[in-house]
This record gives sequence, C-alpha cells and structure tokens, in this order.
Amino acid sequence: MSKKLLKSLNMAALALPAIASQASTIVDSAEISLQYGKYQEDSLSSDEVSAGSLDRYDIDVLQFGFVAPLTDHVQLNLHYQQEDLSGASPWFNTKSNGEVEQVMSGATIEESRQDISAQLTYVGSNYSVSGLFGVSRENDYEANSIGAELTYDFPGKLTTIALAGDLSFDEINPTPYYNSNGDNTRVEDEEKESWSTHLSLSRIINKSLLAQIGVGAINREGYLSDPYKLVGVANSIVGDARPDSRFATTVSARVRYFIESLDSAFHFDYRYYSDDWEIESHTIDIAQYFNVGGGVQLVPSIRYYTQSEAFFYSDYFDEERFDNYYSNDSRLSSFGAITLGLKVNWEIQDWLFSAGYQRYTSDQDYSLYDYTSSALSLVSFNLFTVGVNYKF
Amino acid sequence: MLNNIKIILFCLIAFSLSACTNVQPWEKGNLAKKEMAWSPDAMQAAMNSQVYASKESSRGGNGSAGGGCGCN
Repeated sequence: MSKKLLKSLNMAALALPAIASQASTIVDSAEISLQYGKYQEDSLSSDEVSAGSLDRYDIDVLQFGFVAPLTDHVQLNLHYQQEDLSGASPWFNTKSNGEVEQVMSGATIEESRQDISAQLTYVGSNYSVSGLFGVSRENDYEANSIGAELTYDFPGKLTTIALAGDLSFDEINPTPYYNSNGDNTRVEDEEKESWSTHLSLSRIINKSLLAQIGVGAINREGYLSDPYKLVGVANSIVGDARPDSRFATTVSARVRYFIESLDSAFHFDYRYYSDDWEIESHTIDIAQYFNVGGGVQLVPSIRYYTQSEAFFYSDYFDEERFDNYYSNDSRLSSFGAITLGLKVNWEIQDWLFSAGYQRYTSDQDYSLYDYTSSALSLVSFNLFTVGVNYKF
Repeated sequence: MLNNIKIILFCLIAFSLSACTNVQPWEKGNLAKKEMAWSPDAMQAAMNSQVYASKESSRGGNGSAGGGCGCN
C-alpha cells in the first residue's frame, strides 16, 4: 500500500506535446480520456487597428488520451491531439503622425495541427525510468521530439529526486507570400533544434503537506523568428528578425496542502524564468480543490504572470539597430496577465465528467517590469473545456 | 543570476529545516488523494501549458521537458 502511495507523490512530469506523466506511478487499470476545448480571443476594436481584420484567433482543440498498465512494472501512455485554428493575427505596425498603428492580417488564416505522443515507463522498487517520443504536424511546421526521465526515492521514502531531458527537431516551411514580381518574400525550409532539462526534489513534510523545488534549462537554436510578421523600421518594412539562439533557466517551487476540515487541497506553484533575450518572468498559480459531496469537486483558480521585454522589442523602430534584430511581436513586450478559472469535476463510479472555464486578460499596466514601448496586440481570451474519463 | 542563487539557497534551507515529522505508511492517506497530485488533471495542464507558451514568452519550469509545436 505505502509503495503505491509514495509513488503517486513523485513528480517529474515530462510533457511532450501533451503527455504529463507521474513517472513513478503505475495505474491500476486502463483509462481513456477525451477533452474538447474552445479557445476564443477577444476581437479588437476599430480604433486599435488601422487595417486588416478585427477578429483574432478561434481554436477548437480535441485531446484523446489512453493509459494502461502492461505489466506490474510497465505502463504505456498514448496521446493524440487535433487543433483547428481560424482567424487573423497581428502583421506589422506603421507610424503615422507620430502615432504607432497596428495592421492585422486578413481573416483568412485556417490551419490544422495534429500531435501524437507515446511514453513507456518502468517502475522499480525505489526508482522509475521512462522514455517518450512525439511528433507534431501542421501544413507549415513539423516537430519531432524524444525525451527521458529518471526518478529515485531516497531511503525512508520521504524524498524523491527526478531528472528529465528532451530534444526537439523542428522544420518550418511558411506559407509563401508573393510580391508583385512573383517572388516569395518569406523564408523557406528553416530549422530549429532545442533541448531542455529539469531537476526536481520533492519532499513529504508531514501527513498533509508536500513541497517541491526544481531548476531547469532550455536551449533553442536555429530559426527563432516569426516568418509571418513584419516590422516597421525607419520608414521601411522588414521581416521579423530574432537572434538564432536562446538560452533560458527556470527555478520553481510548489506546495500541496490538504486541509482536512474543508476536505480540500490547496495548490501553490511558482516559477521564475530568465533568458538571454533579457526576458525575465514570474508566474504564480493558486488553486483550491473543494470536495463538496456527491462525487463533485469544485476547483477555482487564479494565475498571475508578468514578463519583461526582449532587448530587441519595440512597437516601432525609428532607427536601425546595430545588430539588425527587430520584433514588434507583443509577446516579447513587458506585460502582465491574470487568469481566473473554475473547473467542476463529477466522479460517478468509473466515470469522471468535467467542465471548465478560464478568462485571461493581459495588459502592460499589470506588469511588474518597466516598459520602453507600448504593446498593441496583447491578447485576452476565453477558454472553455469539457471532458470525460473512463476507467476499465 | 545572483537572485537565482538566493532563491535556490532559500528553498534548500527551507527544505532541510522544515519540520519533517516521520510520516508512517498508514498516515499517508491524504497525500495519496488525487487532488494532492502535482498534476491531478494532466490533460488540462497540457492544454494550459501550450496556450501560455504560445501567448507568452516563458516556457518550461513545471517539471516537464516539452517538445515543440509550431504555436505561433
């Protein structure tokens, strides 16, 4: 009994496109899960856009998961995801009468992405090892990844250490855009390679309290720019141009605390991120899992995020940069974001039904960091999810 | 970088000083509950992770070593 209990506590989740594992747990029985998500970005108002569509992205996501014990020590996880995206996105900014204005693309983007991943885990008496691979495909992007993860429980079974690593090889072939001469102005056949690693230490503090700390590193090299974005630079328009390498480190801390009097679990997660594009961020996630009886669980949550701006970001460049790096992508600006969420889970025998809603808003005024430049295309969105899980 | 080191040291000290009572196997009932897992809802966590990686500039740090997607 205690072996299984402890194993279920060990973290080291290794998530490829969508598998997040509890690496040192073998499930008792096979489970199948299905989740549908509807993601809708808020439209812009006409005074925020000088040309192009006011609508932004609308995405339908379907996720399918399967997990089964193959033997007493081996588990298989499979995941498939289908995404269908439509809408418009920020294209470039212009400057008119000293004022920077945003130009959106037309509302003609329609894309589909398929993602599949598989993970095999072996669990020993005080350790586990797992390997995984994943592929992701869209018409203009292909990503292939492999990963591995090791966990070890120290004698006494109160402390666990976990090490994870992965490699990804991506190929980018943007949809062409032809100018008046019939030439394609976008890049073709670009590549990107990334690796990441994560080390975590989890500890049982007392019978109701768990804590974990972790450190990680992520390295990306190759074509890291956005081939669909342009940038206004000193009265001309150039392509989005970012450095061809990016190295980041993360530090994280998490707590799980069970409040017996409320039959409720408190979750706190914190992550610090820092990279060599001069982007630094803090993320805090808080959730409370309330068991309200009748197999029903309510989970309200709140998330706060803030980041600083990249060294080559501006909403418009009046002068050329010496290093020729340029981007006006608001995702590289200084901003803060708040997410409010509520999820309802209903467990009935071997079935689990769930429904959730999240509201995300971002704004430069929510940022803890200074900003030298505005960000015209910060996004706000609604995300609805419904799901079902069956154990057999 | 100095800030990072301070944070890590603080966490290590907090860990080692924490009042770690010796928890007996029969006392681990609460810890094994699904809502006490690091990620009780893996699918939702994966979807959230992907949405945030597409809309923000930070990635990783949640114990996962994730692969790529074209999330523009």
